[in-house]
Amino acid sequence: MPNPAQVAELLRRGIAAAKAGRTQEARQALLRVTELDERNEQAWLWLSGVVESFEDRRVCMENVLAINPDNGHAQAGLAWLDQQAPTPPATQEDCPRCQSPVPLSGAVCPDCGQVLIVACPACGQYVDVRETSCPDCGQYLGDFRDGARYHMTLARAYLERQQYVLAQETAARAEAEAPADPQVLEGVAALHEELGRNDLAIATYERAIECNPGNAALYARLGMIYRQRSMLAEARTMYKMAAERASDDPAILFELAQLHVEEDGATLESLKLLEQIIRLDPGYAQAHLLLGDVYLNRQQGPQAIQHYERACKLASPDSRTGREAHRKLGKLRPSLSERQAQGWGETWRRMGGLMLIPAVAALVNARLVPWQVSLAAWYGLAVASAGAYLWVCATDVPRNPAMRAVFGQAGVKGSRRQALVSVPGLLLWTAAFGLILLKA
Amino acid sequence: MIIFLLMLDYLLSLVFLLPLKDDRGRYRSFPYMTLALVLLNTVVHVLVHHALPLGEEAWSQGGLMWQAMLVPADILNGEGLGALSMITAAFLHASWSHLVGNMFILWFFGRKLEDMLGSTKFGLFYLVCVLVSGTGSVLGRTALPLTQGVIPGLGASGAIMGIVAAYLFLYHQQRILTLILIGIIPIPLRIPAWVFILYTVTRDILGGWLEQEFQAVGYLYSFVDSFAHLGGVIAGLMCVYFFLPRELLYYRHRPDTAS
Repeated sequence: MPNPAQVAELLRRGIAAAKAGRTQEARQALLRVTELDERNEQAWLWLSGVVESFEDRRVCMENVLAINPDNGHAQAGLAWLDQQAPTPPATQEDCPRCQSPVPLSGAVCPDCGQVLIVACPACGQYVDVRETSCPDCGQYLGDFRDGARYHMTLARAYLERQQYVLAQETAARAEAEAPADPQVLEGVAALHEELGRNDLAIATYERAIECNPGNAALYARLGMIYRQRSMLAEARTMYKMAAERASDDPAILFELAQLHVEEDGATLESLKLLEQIIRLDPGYAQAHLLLGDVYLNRQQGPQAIQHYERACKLASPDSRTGREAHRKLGKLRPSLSERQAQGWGETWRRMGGLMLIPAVAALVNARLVPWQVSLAAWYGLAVASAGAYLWVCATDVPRNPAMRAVFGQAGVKGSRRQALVSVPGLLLWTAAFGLILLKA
Repeated sequence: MIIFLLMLDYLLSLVFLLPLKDDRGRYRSFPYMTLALVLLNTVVHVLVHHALPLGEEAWSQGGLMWQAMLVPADILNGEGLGALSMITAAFLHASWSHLVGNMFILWFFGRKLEDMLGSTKFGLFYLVCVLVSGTGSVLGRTALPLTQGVIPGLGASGAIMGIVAAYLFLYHQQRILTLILIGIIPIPLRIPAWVFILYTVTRDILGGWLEQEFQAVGYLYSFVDSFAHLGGVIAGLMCVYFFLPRELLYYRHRPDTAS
């Protein structure tokens, strides 16, 4: 049993110290009182004023009320504590779309499916969906309120940075947000196509067509995928449907024409289609090239030449179309006229290149004075020119007059004749050049 | 005048053009001859400078390597290997930096030209450039008042300038992605091909001119053989005609045949 006198004395000292502001001394005395008499209402009440933390103060007040529930000081004190207590840390926030509470760590709102965080395509940091730019790298992300388009933009950004899984997931999200928006579906399908998922691309294009049956580009894209998969009948159907919807689009008509030519050959239908394309766009180099092919297959050489020439003029010489047109034109019409190809002009030009080498060497060895070129060097040059002539006849001008006189109209034709002429030519030229070089 | 030329040459020397890429598409054929020339030059360099036990005497007058270098005075006196020394000198280089610089330009422009001419004709054209640039060097350097062509020359740069000039002749409208080094500041820029060669030729003309002026008053200006470079340019512009495929000539001279 506690000594009441001792308790009273300790309580008096504690209260006096508390009143004097000596909180530590007061706390020690009052705590001792509560140890000796734990149901001492006055001790708990005064102790609540000298403890340090809100939690301890609350415990003291609650003890007072446990001893005497009617204690007005303790009731007021607890009410005050409730007001002053710090706010507990938030564990949830509101969904930016439906405003329902969502856990802070959540990635998707469980109520409306709104994505709450997105990965920045540039730096990979996870960013709150409400941010229009990445706080880390400043990359523009867009406004999430744009919905499916926001996701499509992100998906394309992921694709550009080879983040294929993210691109696919984000495209799927876009599709889920706007399952009946043909533009979004077209974008998603194109993305699937680029990712090589042609089955998904076909399915998505088909759904886009259901939503917007008048869009020719969708049919054309489907046609292209079918064509790549060698499903030519389906491809043709799609291209035809595209052409019906965009009869003035030369690119779509050209796809159809290409398919016609590949499948049916140079039919009149292909010809008409290609001519229609050229009427729509006279600068369409590929169409001219294909039309040249069609005319050539139909044994209409002059028209083929005309269109190949047009393709040559329209396309860059380094482009595939330009090179192809040049090559075909070169085959179809010799680059030199028949007279030139069989004449001496081209032969002299070719020989000139070969003769420059021994001629300069002979001149250098004659101290750069032409009239000091030795007789041996002149003989060497004569032999070199004979060698050069044979070499040129075998490789570049096979139907040169002398060769026609020897071998007939065909000239140096066939590997045996070529070897017969070129080998002695090469040997003569090399030997003569060697002799000139060595000042023999 | 000479001060102006010196300043101009100094300003141009602050700029270094390093071609990186042009607009031409894929090559139709593998550049075997260009590769062979690059390898041959490299092998010769390794042999001469690192593998073969060539002493100082080989490089001094009358020595083996002296004979293999282009000495214009010897050519005009009818001494030495004559035209053969032009060919051998074109495969010799003074240092690795000399070799690498030349081979880089040869690889960049050579494979484009080889793509157009074909490997054999490209090889023959290179030989023409070697001989004509050598002739340019003989003519230019023997006219110098001080050295009078007694200093031997070596390197493939003259012939390579021929290749560069022929490239310009064929593809003057091309734009070349070039790393322009102004001092230590690199600026990547797409410049027309003609700007690239204009810069090079201007430097060579200036170099030759200043060499002449300096030697007239008893000084050497530079050891760069500007005359060989100019000879190479002339060879490239004039002689490539003989090696062009006839298809190219046909379309070049008849651009309006298409209706």
